[in-house]
Amino acid sequence: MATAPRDIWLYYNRSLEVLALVESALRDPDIAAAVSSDSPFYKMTPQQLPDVLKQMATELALEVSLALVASFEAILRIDFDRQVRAPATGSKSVAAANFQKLWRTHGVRTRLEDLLDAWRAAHPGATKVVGDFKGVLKWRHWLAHGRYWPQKGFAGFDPYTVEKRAKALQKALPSLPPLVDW
Amino acid sequence: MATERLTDFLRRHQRDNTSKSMDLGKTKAEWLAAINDLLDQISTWLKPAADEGLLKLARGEIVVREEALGVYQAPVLQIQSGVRVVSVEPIARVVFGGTGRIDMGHGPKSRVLIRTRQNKWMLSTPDPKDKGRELTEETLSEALQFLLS
Repeated sequence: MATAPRDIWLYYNRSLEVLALVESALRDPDIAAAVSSDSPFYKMTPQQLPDVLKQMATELALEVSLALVASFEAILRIDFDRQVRAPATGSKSVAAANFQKLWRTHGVRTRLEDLLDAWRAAHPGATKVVGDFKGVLKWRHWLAHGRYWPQKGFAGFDPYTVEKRAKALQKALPSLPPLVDW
Repeated sequence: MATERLTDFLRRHQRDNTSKSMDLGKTKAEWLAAINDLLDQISTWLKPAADEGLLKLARGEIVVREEALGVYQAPVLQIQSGVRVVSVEPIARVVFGGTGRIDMGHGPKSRVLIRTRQNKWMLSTPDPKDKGRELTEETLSEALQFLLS
């Protein structure tokens, strides 16, 4: 079962709040002293904590971004699958016709980028937002493959970038299934 | 209405801070006493070597900045062997997993002393996974041999 983007977003916001609470709680000398000697925080001082929590928040943002884009991909692929398998009754939308062509050529191996191009071809006014969303896919690709090549063109990307671009995509393509429903 | 709520909050905040600062004064005094006790103990253990002229021991003071205790002066001990000097310096009273941290260092080499809630000192490497061993004359000797070598 696909993970709902809403659940990932909730997880992200809860995690950020937990990090803030940890930072606040560990400023209390009694709570700090009660940290276990098995803890990876053992021996650290509160002055060192902000840098560590900042690193954690940065890593969290990358992991959440990957999960979020992946969940959007699931929605787009499920929708693609539903459209190409739907009984051929009446006239199809331009997007559905484009999907059929893709399906006949690539089947289940259809690339997400090609799927988005099919959406773009059906909605010429959405060229920029589709392009922006494809930028997020490139970032997802970089994240999913272990970040081993130089990071170019993703400066400042975070879950809010993903959310913003997905919202824009949703607005520009009204027949798209809901991506951001929060 | 909102202003009244803020005023209540600020009054409570001021009360909390006042009571905390009283506690912190006591905490700081107790921490400085613990540092002095430790430096005295280390000096006692090293006295035979110092009497023989193998080491020089010197006390000094450093400024420590901590969020909880503010800025204060704390005693340090310098252990000199030839041109090498190991500093025994307080880092913080508030430390995760203990009630005080003192570092022993020479150049890039260091050892960490963590005071437990039972007022014992654990001597370890800086690695968080290293729980260390209780500070004794023997473990101090091993640490100093590492730091001075």
